[in-house]
Amino acid sequence: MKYYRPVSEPELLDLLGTLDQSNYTLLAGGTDLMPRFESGMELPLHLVDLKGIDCFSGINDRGDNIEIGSLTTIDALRKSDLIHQSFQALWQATDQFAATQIRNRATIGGNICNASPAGDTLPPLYAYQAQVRIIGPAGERQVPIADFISGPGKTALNPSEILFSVILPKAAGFSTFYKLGLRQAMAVSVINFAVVAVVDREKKVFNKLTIAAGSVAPTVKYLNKLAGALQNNGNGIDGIIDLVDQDISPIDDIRATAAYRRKALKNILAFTLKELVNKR
Amino acid sequence: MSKYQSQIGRSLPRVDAADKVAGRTRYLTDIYLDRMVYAYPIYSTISFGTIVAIDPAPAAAVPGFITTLLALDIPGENQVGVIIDDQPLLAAETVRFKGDVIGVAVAETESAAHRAAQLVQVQYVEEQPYLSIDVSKTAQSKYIHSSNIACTHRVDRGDISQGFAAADRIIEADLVTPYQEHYYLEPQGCIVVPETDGRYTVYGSIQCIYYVQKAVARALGIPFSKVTVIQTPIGGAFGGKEDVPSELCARSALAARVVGRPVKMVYRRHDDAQLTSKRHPFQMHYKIGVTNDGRLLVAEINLVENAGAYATLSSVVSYRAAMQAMGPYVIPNIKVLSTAYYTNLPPAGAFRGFGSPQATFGHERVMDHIADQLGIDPVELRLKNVLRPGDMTLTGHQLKASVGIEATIKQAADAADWVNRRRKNTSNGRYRFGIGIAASHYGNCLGAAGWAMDGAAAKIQIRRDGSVTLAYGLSEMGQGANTVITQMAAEVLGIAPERIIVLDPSTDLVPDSGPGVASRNVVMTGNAIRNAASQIVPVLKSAAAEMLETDPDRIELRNDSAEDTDSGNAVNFNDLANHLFISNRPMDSLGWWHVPALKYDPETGVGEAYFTYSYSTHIALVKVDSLTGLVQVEKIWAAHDIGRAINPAGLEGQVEGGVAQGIGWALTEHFQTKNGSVITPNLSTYLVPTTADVSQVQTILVEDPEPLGPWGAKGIGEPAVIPTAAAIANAVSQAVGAPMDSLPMTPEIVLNALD
Amino acid sequence: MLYIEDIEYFDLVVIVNGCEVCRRVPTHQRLLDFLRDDLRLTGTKEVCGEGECGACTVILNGETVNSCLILAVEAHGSEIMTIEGLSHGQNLTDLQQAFIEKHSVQCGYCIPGMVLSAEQLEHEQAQPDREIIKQGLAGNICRCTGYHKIIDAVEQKGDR
Repeated sequence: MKYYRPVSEPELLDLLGTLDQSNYTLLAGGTDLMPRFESGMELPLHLVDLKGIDCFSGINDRGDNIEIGSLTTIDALRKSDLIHQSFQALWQATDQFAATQIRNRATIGGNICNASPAGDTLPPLYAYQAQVRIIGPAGERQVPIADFISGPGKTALNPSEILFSVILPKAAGFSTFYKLGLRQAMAVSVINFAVVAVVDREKKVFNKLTIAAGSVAPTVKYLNKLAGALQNNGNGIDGIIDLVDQDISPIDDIRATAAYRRKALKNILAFTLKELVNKR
Repeated sequence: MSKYQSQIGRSLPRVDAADKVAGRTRYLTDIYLDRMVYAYPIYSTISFGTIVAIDPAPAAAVPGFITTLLALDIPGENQVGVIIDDQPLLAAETVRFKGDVIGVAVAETESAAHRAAQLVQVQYVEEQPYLSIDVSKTAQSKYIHSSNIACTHRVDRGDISQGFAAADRIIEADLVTPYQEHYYLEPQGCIVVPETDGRYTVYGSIQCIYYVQKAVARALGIPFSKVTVIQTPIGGAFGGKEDVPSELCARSALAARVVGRPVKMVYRRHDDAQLTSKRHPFQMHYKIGVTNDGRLLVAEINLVENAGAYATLSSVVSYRAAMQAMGPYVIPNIKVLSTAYYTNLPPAGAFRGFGSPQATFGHERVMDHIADQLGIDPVELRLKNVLRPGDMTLTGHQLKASVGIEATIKQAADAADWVNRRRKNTSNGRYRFGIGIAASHYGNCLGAAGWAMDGAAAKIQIRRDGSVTLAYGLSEMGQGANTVITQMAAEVLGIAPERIIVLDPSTDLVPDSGPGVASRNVVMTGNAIRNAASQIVPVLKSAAAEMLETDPDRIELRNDSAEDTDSGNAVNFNDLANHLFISNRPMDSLGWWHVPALKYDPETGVGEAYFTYSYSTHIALVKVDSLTGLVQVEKIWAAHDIGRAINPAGLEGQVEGGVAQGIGWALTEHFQTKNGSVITPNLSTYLVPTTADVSQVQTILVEDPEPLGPWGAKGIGEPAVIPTAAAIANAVSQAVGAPMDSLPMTPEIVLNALD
Repeated sequence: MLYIEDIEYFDLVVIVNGCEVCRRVPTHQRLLDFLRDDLRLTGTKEVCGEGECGACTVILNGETVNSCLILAVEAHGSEIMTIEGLSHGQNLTDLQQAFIEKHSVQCGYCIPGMVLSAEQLEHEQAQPDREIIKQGLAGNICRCTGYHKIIDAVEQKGDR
């Protein structure tokens, strides 16, 4: 296995141009990749470490939105005032993400490209309608995160392309994240979700509502049926919570059954939405 | 003259802590020897069947490959069963679970040995496997061994038909407990070094050095005298390193014999989960007859254990569960049948508590069923039936002294403010609260079933400069053995603990002391130290008397010296030690203690099952999230009658750690297999509690001295974990208003129970 | 421990416990194996091999990391501190001393990682409360102690 650590974006793109797509693996934090190697996955011929490229890291305020470099660590997000103040759901996801040692290495780009249905930063990114910025030999493109992730471990990255950053519109509204794990820390989410909402406190209705849930389908899902029914509405959440079922397709796995995922998601989501509309 | 400070009852900091916090302790994994090679097991990938061909050739392509060894390479006996001879060291014909070891691959590096082992091709004819107790029971032919029953034990005392006839109420319950993985942090591992004269030295993370000595000698066909087994500091064991190391060491010894170089074998974590023993899953049926006012009259109990593919320690786990099946209560009529069935799953074996946590889950859940049905408070019900001095245990063992169970129940209930908390409204908003109690008794040491092995040695050796070494044959597996035996030896010699070094247990140092298990260290080694003292103390006194020109009867050993109690003159222990040497007196003594004879009838299971019992009561306060079913244990009050606490802080540590393991078993540690494969082999799927998962723990020590215990002490290692899960289940049952009769109580099960 | 047949090498330069170390290492060697097998700094332990237990925790450029999840080559040019570098043999830190006094140690296999995580936690936050200590140590699994006496030690050290 040859190890490369390019130090600039052009160097990286040149390098990838020379390597056969099937023979190289990109390395960010390594917190998902290394366990796979450990459990028997073949090592690649070429390993390209992205951590030498400074412009891949950092959280930048771009006015209407913020841009987070794909190599930004979960801990850097957790320690960012900007994230803490303006992107509460994402901040909560980073705060509940694994434990210190992992947060110090794991990156947001890795969490996105790993495309796990249970990835904790994903529901907030979906709920914020994040765009991902991709660079490659053919130039640069931006796609919504929901179009970027196509299935478990699958993304829209073409050969020799790299996830450069993720762009979050400064959300008008309050956001919150919830994670259900089978342990109080260091748990893979059985379900997780993020809600972005604008609430009319007088009328106790949602003026705007976006809900994205994880671990309930092969990718994170928008719960648009429920969110749509609650548009300019805030009553009778319990009566319509079953609309959630139309947007999700959970499975039984080692951690929980599909039935439990549905039930727990509906219970917690109804509770969260009622608190949001009544208390804020 | 400074005031005398006893070493007993003192929270001496652990003697091994400084090295451990500095990372200096050398565990087995940390040892690298010159010319060392690595071995790794080749194991079955099917659950049940016959080997038809083994092709090691593909392994030879691995760079660094040395050799493979199969059953035909065993010069001695191909047998590693610890109690029942049912387990080949290397499977030659039949394989009985995924993980049954067929051979060993040897290579220059650890990763090469591992890869080579994976590449060996084995062809099988597969049989339909028995993957549950229920399926195993139905077998008519093609048994896993000569039968699918590994062992049975029974207790038959009093007359149960009369008992049921006299009962006002009959209450029945079915209870289920799952596998539990030890998840000791240090993996299984050993190094075997071939020496001159055909001798072998074995180093390892080993609870039972004498078991390993026998297993290695047996496999190699050599006398025990040619096998030295040395216990390296153990990074956690909990029973998981009782019999399993015999397998690793004997297989590594085969390689050492052939290769003529030191051989190291360390299991990788996924394989450790698939290959090694775990806590037995139990299915239990309880049928209890009671009076309307809550007196237990009769019990008919059927315990069924999943032994997995080999018996390992099933027969003694099954025995212990039977002997303790109805807990620390008076019950005049009882019938217990305890049966372990073979299945084609990883073997179940020794795990802290050894059948007791399962039986305690049974009797303590059923006590709460009784309390519910009779409308009696659970604490009151237990106090009504609890064993007191003079009472007989369920096996008819009349207890004379050190029966502290009543005190543990009362003190735990007081500390937990039981009466008020139990009455509180438990369904308030999102969270529901519950409080539950569980009590248990734990027979110390090996009991009647293992009496022949229930002796142990300790050797005190005084050096000429006044330093002292202490050798013993059991194990420091993290529980603090070396610290408490240092305290006990310091006490008998009247010296500072700092003078004493405890040697790593070795088969060369003291005679066969049986297994390092069954919470027996304090009692066995402590009494052996007292026995050693009875030999060496008179020698020290006579030497001191000679130096001080006085009578030996007037000498007291204390404050690091020998004092003439009349004159107050004293001689320093350094000078005293030197005087032993120059006056040609003995400088060491070998102490021995054996559990006294037990009157017990194995046919009926009636009699003195164990020589004494430790008693425990845990009360659990839980908070249940009604939206998700997640249970958080808020607090455990843990009251333990341990006779006498030698080191109270260390003892608290045992209790706190036991409680954490109990919380894991009750809630998060969901061990799962699919088609015989362990599908929870790692820490992301098998959820051991983290810092965020443990409850508060308040340890309450009840000191009701045991006359046969050293300074009154009894064992604590296992009692610490035994009642926790049952107490939590009783608390969750109250919180959700439905009986929780199986473990683990996953959020899914709890949420469904809330409906 | 990772396996590969065709081994490539890399000339690694790292500072370990204050000393510069130059070694030719296989590119697939984990930092954990480099520290243990090559440098014989065996205080760093392997338990799970996949970042779930924290026993292999070391401090890399001032941050705690799991050395089982990092290739040695990734650490090229970095500063690493292991448990051996914390006390340099004999002089234990106040926190290590607190672990001894508070009976925080049982089998000890998790302890080097636990101590480094706790040191780093205290470095980042003076006088952490129990809740913060719990969160800060959640990536370090202990199977013996139930954590209480470990948390006691970190809390006591913070109070000093």
